[in-house]
Amino acid sequence: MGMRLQPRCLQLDSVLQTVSVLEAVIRRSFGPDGGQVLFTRDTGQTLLTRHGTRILTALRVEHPLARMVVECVRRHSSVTGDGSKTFVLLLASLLREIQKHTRKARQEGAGAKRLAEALLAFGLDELSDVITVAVAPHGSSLSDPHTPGQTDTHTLCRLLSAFLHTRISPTHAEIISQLTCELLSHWSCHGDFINEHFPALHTAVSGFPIGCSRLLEGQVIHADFSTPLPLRDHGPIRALAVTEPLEPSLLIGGTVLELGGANREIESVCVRLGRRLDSVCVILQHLGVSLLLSSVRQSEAFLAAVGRYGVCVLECVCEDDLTLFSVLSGAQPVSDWAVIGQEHVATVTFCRPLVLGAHRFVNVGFPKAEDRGRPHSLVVCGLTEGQTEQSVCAVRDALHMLHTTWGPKHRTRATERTARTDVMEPCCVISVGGTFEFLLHHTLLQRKHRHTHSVTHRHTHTPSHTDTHTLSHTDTHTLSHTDTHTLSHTDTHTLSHTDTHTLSHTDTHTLSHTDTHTLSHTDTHTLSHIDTHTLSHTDTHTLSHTDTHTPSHTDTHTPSHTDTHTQSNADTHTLSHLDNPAVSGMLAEALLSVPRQIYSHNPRHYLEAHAHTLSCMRNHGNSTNPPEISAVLAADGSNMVQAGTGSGSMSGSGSGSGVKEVTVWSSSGSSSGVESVSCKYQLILAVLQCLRSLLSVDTVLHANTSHTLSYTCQREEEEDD
Amino acid sequence: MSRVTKKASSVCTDSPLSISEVCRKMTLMRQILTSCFGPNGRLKQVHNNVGGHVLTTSTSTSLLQAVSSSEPLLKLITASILNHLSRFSDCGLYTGILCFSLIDHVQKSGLRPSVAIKINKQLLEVCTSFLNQEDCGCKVNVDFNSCQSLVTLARSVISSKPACVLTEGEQQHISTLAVHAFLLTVPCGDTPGSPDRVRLGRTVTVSIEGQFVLDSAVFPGLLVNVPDMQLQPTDSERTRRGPGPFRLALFTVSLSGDLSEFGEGSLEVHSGAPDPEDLILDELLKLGEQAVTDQVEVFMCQRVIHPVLQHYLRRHGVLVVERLGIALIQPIVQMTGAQAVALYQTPIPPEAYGQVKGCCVRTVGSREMLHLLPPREPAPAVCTMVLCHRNDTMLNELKAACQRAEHVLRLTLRDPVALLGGGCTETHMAAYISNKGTTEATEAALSLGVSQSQYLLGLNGFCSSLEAVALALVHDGETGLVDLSYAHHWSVPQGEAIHSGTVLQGEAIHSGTVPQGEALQRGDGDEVPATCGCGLVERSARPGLEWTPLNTRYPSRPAPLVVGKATPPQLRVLDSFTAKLNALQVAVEMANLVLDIRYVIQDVN
Repeated sequence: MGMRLQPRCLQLDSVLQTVSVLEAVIRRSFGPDGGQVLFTRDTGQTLLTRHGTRILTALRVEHPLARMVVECVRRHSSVTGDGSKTFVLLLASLLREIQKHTRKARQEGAGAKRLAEALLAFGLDELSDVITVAVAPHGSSLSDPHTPGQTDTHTLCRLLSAFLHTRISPTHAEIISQLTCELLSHWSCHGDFINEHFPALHTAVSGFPIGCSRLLEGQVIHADFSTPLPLRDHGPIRALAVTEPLEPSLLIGGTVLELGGANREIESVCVRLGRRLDSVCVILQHLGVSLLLSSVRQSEAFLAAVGRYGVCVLECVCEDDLTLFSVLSGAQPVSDWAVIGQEHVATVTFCRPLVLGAHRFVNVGFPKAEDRGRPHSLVVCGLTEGQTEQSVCAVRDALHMLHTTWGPKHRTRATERTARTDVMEPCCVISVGGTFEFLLHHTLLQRKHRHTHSVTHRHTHTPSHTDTHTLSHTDTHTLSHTDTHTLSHTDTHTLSHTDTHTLSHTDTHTLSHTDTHTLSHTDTHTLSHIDTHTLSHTDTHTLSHTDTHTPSHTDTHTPSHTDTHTQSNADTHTLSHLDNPAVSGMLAEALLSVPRQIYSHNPRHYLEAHAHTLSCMRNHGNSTNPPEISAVLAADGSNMVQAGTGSGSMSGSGSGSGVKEVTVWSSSGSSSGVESVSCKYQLILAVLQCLRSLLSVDTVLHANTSHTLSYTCQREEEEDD
Repeated sequence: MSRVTKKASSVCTDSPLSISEVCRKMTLMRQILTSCFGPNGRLKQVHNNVGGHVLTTSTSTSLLQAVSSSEPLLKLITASILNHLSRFSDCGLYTGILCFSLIDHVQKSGLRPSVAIKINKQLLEVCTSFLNQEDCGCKVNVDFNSCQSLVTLARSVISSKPACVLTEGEQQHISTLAVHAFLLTVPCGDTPGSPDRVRLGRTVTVSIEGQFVLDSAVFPGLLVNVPDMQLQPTDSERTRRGPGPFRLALFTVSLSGDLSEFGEGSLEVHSGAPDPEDLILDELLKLGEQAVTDQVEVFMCQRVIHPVLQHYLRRHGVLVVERLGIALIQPIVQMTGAQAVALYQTPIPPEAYGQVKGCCVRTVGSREMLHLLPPREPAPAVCTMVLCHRNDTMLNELKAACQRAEHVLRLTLRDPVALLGGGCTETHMAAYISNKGTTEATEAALSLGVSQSQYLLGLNGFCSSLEAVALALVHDGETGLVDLSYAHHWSVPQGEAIHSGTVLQGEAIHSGTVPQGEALQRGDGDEVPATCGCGLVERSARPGLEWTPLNTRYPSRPAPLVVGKATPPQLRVLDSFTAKLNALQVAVEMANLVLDIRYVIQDVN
């Protein structure tokens, strides 16, 4: 048994490297500008996807750590149906944060592991509180404000559409999300029911453009008539579901038919067989049954016999269809012909042949029932099997995600201590485009500063922000000074803060980001000024603002930078006591990687979105309707790209382009998506758990064994689940 | 124990469209498709590396099924074209050419994929709404009162398959037959059952090799292949017997008398007991007796009939046909109204009998076949199409072409319109889109969130792609022209060099009236053919037409005029509306999809 030991000191780097590779792949299809990934199966099947888990599993990575990550992602996405791409991004950026931290602390391995543990502990203990306090008030609820218990369909559509935009190409997402909404509303939003029976509720048809997708009333049974008789269309039809062949073969395996004597047995057996068929037909006729759904193949003799009585037979109806049929009709399937009774007979309102693409199906309708809406089925069209498969998969996961959003039942296992997840409103949703991340980022930073030396903090920042301070002062003065002060404070602070971050970023990760960040850095100064200008007040301030901006920026930059460093240095020493500040700071920084990636094509929009969230956050203290404001943010990133490219050169006409953007934003504001807060929360928890288990591995042993399967031994101190 | 093998890592490709190898393969595929397009398309011979059958074809279905690429992008495009073909049977090459052309133009224009996708999608919507307009200039109504447009439609399908190797007359003959067969399968009068649902009959194709194409024919009813030995002298006597509906019995169960259908158990026969096979034969003979007493005249079985039973029936003057095969059962059931009997142990129920009006032996080519005549005239009609051709390859192609034509004709039942063929729809639509897009560029660009120049670039690419399809019809060095009034497609025979930017004028007198300030060079229009590609615009009837070569960018073209339909001339080429509309959507969506692909992961296990 030969083995190779990897040096311990490489551990964190190699983990980060592995995760970065995965991140690089995921990034192609992340965000509003992300594209499709085409993958071919080993069977030669060509499929399309934008689903993180699918992409990762299709890679078939060999590296044990990478496989572990893929497994974590898969597990998370099977629970919530959402967030697999964000998972990888967040994991990578957390690892980077940890690396930055430990590099300073000069005690790598153990430090990284302890940090990960502290992060997880923080996530389990305090994160839900933080989210409840900081993020939830900015969100809106999925349930209708007027009639509690009912779902607000408009919000539901926004939620679905935002989700589907991350999964299928944007041109198709609208159609599919609209259909899914309609489907849900037809079923009176029994999301769980649809989720459960989704295999029977959809039909994928390839060869048509996706615009041909539609909803059909009733259920589609994925089988064709075995008897050629046309069915009469009018009036209710009585139907029967069977799961057994109604004419068993004459001799079942193992039995012996003895022929002899004078009674000519074979003849009598044949006659009995014929009589038996006749009696089944008589029963059917007596019950008035004219449609038979069979899960098994019936004998030809049986088909011919019942066909003569005008009964149509559907053979080989799949399990899912039959289950749904019996649920909708309320009639149980028959397994023994001898006990067919009235209780097995279902009533359908119509039953018509249906040609979908190359297949012939049967469409049945059910009488109206009060407790559930009108049954409808989804027909998903696409050019190829790959495309329909993608849409179907996306809808299925969307339903799954809704399920998670609606009920907090699916808690991750690690939250055993949390009775407090219930505090968080389950149906809370928030605008997409990084709003959640920005809000959480700020709250976490605030916490950090509250925890540490708030005196020095205030000290460093007061000189730099005199300008903005006086401006905002007029608004906020009436309220208690200290609170609003810190809020507005953090606002401008973070802008500078991001800069600090990007600087350090370029330092550490020369491989990935050097180019883009130097660019964004130069942009930031000129553009952020325009941004503040559009968001706040008048033209006259522009000049003075620019003047003060640049010097103040460079001035405060360095001190604040070093300040945090010394702080964090001090923190790592005391980390064993679950030190919050460093941990929440790291998490806060890591969270920003998500919106940064969303707006990766245009850093200006990143700043705009950031500033906008902040202004919403600040306004939240005195304004009453925060969700609407944040909705105008319209984080549908694609619109923002257009706004950027459309306005062309920004430098000259500050106010003009600003106005234009606002119009673009508000026009798309109505269709802006939302995402589920509880999904996000679960995502962060899952990432933290994955991070912990990743970092608790210290050695990978490659074992070569000849007679057993070759497997990789992972020595882990503790496997979390 | 199953072996667990180690899975190899997947092969990843980043931004596949930027890789020259992928582009080369796509260009090759595009060239293959383009060269096959249209009535003058070039044939392709496909043979695989282990020898065997050599396929000669130019149709998209055969070609795409035979040529498989390892390139995932091409696989995707091929699969989508084949899917389209399996639904609509037509416009496969059209889809492919348009799709590749769109991708190509976007790549050349340098637009970002996400921008190009949005523009393409918007233009597609403009196209579909244009085609669905009532007064759309490239749409004609299919008149079911005369079969002229139906024949034109069928001939367009058949003539676009040059691998059939048909002369003009043969094309006309086959198209007429296709329409005849189609009309036979449409039930006339009131159908029983629900009025909104029409059940079409079916056409059974019999192909015969080595005969002249003009020997092909369509028969109402069914031609059943009967081996010589089955047609006994008594039978031929019967077939000559006078008219009158004959009673017919149809069995799907095997009447061979063996015991195979008794399941998996075993039989134990005691000595002295009667042989079970004898007992079964007794049963069969009882059945025969019943058939004779019920005056059955035609006794048919999908499988084998016991010789004793056959003999018995024949002796009683019953026409016996066995081994029909599963394919014929449904048509027979549909035509005769018989119910297929699947049990011989019980007596035949009286309602299971069907009827035929008569039967006779027909010699078709080298084969003798039994012709079953449908019982009543307005019945759900079943007809047989006998196709003849000189050799096997051409025959297969012809058979496929006729099935295509039938499908296309059936599509007109749902949507009784057709599109102008010969490239005129494409040029007309391109001109319309170009005009509409240019005039409304500002609003469209704003609503899509792209800049106006980007929009115009995308529009230009889209229109060029449409015109590229019209240009693909030209193979023999002709020049594709478009007239400036109606924007129809004209092709000028080889030899006339026409430079880009030239405007040709129809009438010499008009050249004097042209203002001198025109930047465009003007030439003589004498070499332009008498009619446009589809035959709607006649040169003689419309003096003053001006032409320009296709794919020359014209500053701003006026909206194309709609040709007045007061005296519709003889249209030469018509395309299926439904198929082409879907093909257009499939092509644009597929191009968008391919442009959107950023990453390819290939599982190499």
